[in-house]
Amino acid sequence: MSADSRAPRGGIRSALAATTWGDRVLVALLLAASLAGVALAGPSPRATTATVRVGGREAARLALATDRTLAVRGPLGETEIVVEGGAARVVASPCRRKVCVRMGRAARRGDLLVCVPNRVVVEVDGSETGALDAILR
Amino acid sequence: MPRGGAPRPRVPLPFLAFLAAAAAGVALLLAGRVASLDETRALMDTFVTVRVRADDARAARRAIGAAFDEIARVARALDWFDTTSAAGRPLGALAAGESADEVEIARVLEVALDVARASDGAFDPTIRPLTALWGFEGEPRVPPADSLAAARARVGHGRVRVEGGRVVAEDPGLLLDLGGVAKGYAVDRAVETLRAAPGVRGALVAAGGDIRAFGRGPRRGAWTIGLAHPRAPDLVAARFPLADGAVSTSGDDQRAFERDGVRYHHILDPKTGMPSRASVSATVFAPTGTEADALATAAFVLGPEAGKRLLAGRPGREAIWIVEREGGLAVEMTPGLEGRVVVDLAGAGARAIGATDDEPDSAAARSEARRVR
Repeated sequence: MSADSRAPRGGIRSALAATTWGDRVLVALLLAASLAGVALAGPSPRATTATVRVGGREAARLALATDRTLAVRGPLGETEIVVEGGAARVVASPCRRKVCVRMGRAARRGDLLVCVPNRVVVEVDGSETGALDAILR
Repeated sequence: MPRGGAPRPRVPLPFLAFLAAAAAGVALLLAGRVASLDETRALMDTFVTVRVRADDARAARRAIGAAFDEIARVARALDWFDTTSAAGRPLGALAAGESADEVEIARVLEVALDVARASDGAFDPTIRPLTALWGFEGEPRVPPADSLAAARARVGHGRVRVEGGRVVAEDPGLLLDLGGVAKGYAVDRAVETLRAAPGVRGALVAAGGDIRAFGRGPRRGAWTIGLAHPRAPDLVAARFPLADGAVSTSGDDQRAFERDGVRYHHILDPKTGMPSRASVSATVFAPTGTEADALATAAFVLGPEAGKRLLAGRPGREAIWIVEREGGLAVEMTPGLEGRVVVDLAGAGARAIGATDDEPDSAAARSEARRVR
């Protein structure tokens, strides 16, 4: 009862009193590590190309800069992919649970849209030349 | 619940140790960051790009500047178009071998003549009478047969040698065309400069058809090189990793012209004096840019069959040929490259850049990006 009545006034102080030095060091460390992680990794860069594979075989490679709709045929039927505003998404799929449709947009390098039942994978990445360090000509 | 007046526990030693280790780890991670910089300048009739990964941006900038200075110096030293320079005069005038330029020319010529002999003259650094006749550097023309024969007689790598770092010309009238080695050599010199520069961990120098790299690339492995498609320069016909070493390409798409419906390009077969039709492009891997550059010309002129024989006698040298076959393009390569090169002649990259509305199935059939095993 007495602890509850003190809580609103000395919340931080009592919380501090409840921790050991070890706890505080741990919290500070985790905070520092997560900040360092953000600083090191940065935001992942925007993708420029979507590679569409059906059953592991490349079916199409699309520039994300160009809006378009594409239908690819998998074992269950046609999966419809829309490229719009620099991102790819699956808008229609013959699969039962429509997980791929609910995956939303893929716009950052390495983003994946996967429809396991219809064996369709859409991976967005850098452009053909973007991943190269030099061109020999 | 607060423990009121209970004594605060002392900081346990393991935690201190853990803290120190974690701090050291974060410091190491931050220290491990490298500055990646690149710069492109127009030099030696092409665009030269120098990419550097260094401890910090200042080290990278300084190294890039030094590399470009070195390339510009080599360009002057090996300027065979300038008839007042050591490289531009007939070889008879070189024999003194005393000036710094002459020493450098002898160094380049030693590699060039080695490739000339090994390829039985498919590459010849004394080809200048022929290239001058075709006029590829100015107004190109198809020369008449009699002047071709006369020019051919003035070409002969067998009439010059390098002895003790000096050029010994049996035929003092021989003229150098270093077009098949100079850029490779410049890339070598730039890489040596970058290797010696403080703080540089890895670098790549690309001068059109000649690339050399060392150290780690930006994606923590080898550098990734794309070979421009000889018939669609916006596309990449092949991609491969390059660690410490050089790669050069010779293609019929560079410096070409058309007369009466026939396409002529600048890579001449020294034996006929005509553009070689044996390859569309030849790309050679070698330890140095100078050798890769000369070998690429030889491999182009010889074509895949004879070219493979030439390279079989030179361990560690590999090549990719693009050739015309049955109205289309085909790829051949030396066995050592199998599994390392991804070839895509149909141009899957075309759809990455341009917008087409192909049926996906036909697109897949046409792309057939195949990993060569």
